[in-house]
Amino acid sequence: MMKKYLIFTVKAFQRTLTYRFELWMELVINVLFMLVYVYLWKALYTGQTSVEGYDLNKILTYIVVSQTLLTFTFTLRVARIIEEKVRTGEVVTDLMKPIDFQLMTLATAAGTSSHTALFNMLPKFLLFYGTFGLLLPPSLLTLLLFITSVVLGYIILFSLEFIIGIFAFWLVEIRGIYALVIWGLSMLFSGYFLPLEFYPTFLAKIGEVLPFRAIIYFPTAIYTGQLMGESLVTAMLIQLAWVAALVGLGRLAYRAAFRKLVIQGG
Amino acid sequence: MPIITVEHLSKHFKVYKRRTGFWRSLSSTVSRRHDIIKAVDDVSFSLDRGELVGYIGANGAGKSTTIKMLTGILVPSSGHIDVMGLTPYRQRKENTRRIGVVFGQRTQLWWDLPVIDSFELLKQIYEIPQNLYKQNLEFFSEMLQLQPFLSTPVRRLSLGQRMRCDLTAALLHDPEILYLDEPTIGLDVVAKEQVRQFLREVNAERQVTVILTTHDLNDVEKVCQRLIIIDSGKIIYDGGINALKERYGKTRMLIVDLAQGYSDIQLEGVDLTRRDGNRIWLAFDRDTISASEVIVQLTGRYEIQDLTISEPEIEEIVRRIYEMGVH
Repeated sequence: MMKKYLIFTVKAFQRTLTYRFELWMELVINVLFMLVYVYLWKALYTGQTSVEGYDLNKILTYIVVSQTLLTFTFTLRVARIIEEKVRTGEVVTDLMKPIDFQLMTLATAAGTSSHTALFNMLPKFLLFYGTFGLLLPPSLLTLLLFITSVVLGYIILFSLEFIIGIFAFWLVEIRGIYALVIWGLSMLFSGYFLPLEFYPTFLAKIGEVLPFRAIIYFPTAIYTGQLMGESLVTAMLIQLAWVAALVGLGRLAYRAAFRKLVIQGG
Repeated sequence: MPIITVEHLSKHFKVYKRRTGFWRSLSSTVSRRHDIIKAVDDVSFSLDRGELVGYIGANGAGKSTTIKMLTGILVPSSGHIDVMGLTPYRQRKENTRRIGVVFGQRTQLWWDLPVIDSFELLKQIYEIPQNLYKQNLEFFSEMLQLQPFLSTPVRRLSLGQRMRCDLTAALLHDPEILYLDEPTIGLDVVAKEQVRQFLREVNAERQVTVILTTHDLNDVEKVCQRLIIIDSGKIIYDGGINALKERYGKTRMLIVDLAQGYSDIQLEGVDLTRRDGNRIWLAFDRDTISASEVIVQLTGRYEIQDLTISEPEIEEIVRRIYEMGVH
């Protein structure tokens, strides 16, 4: 049963290999951006020992980990892919197969993203880790929890993009809503820019009711040891709740979309 | 027992009217007016296992809408569809396992991947057992000569090569019914002939029921035994191709090269439909007058150089049916 979805992952992974030049360019640009951030924070910390529980080493670790995780946001093109499938009518071909559309999309995205993780994120992280003497997670268990948290965050990001993509069944143009959610809200509240502890209270409060901090902030804060014990468990439970809610919402959305397509025609 | 039964099938679409002008377009966001388009209008037919049927009609006649309902991706407005005992739109997944679909204008292959990878993907999607997959792949690569480009990415294939791969992709899981929507569109003569030959063989050897929609009546004439013509959502002809010719193709055309330009041509039971210099086109109904009678008349009155009789092409017949309706 799962085997037929796993092959989508494998093929998507292989397919990514086709566009090597694009991938290298992406990596180079990412590294330059990260360098800028790292030096910015080094400058900001001159004469400071610790802010909000982050010393220089910890803040640099935070920045590098969160910047690395941000790569998923840049490279996940799920909304755009769905929009294109709807626009070209290719979605009909998917409908004519004995397959679940949401699972298939996730399996495909996972293939592309595994490639990104292996050939972009990991080397990038190791480069910065080696160059700037960053911290490792406090324990092996934390490392495992970090990885789990990254996966949960990834599914949340995927689900948001999936739902936005499904809007293409009703809207002619989804770029607006995509920009609002992914470039606006997600950038603001996911914590890639700076740790959420640094935010003014009212912004932090808004962020708490939104799913975005579960994408980057939670896993990063688990890595740096900022979230430990009870707060770590709470964070992961919140992630699980968002996964369930958004996957479920995506399912409802695409069922409604397909019903519309099937009843009214494409 | 028929494999497909369609009874009083209709599909109506609401088409919203767009109003021009600022205030009018503003008011149409509140209350929209619409027309009802009857894309498919009270259509009934049934197909037996192993039939090879051409489903033809002009653009917008309702061909694709019918196919979409048969494949389960469109819900009928009214009427009844039974495909292999299933109601396609209710049992979509179950239905898709047992059918194959090819759209001439679209590919189900993965653009960036080698052809063989798409096949492997389909093997998993349809859960095709390894030995059946191997057997079918060998069969189709042999028949369609896919070997030279099996490891070429789909985006680098020619249209003809891609269509051969798409046909294979639609048949790997041994479907009982194959739906083809314009499979020869854009192909050159050789590639078209290859596709037609293939369809005949697949139908004969594997007992696959084939429904083919097309604009190209040569496809129908060379491939199908039966023809369904749909126009403005209604079936206007359903029967054999020879019967169609028999019924609507009684008019013969005699093309005559006269030795000199006679000013006035008088013949009984014959219509002079066209004249170009010394060449004349004479139409006659073969039930009223035989070709030899026409020729006797002609040679008695005029001096002729050459003559040919042409049978009506299926294309001509269908064009006439579209223009005048069925009598």
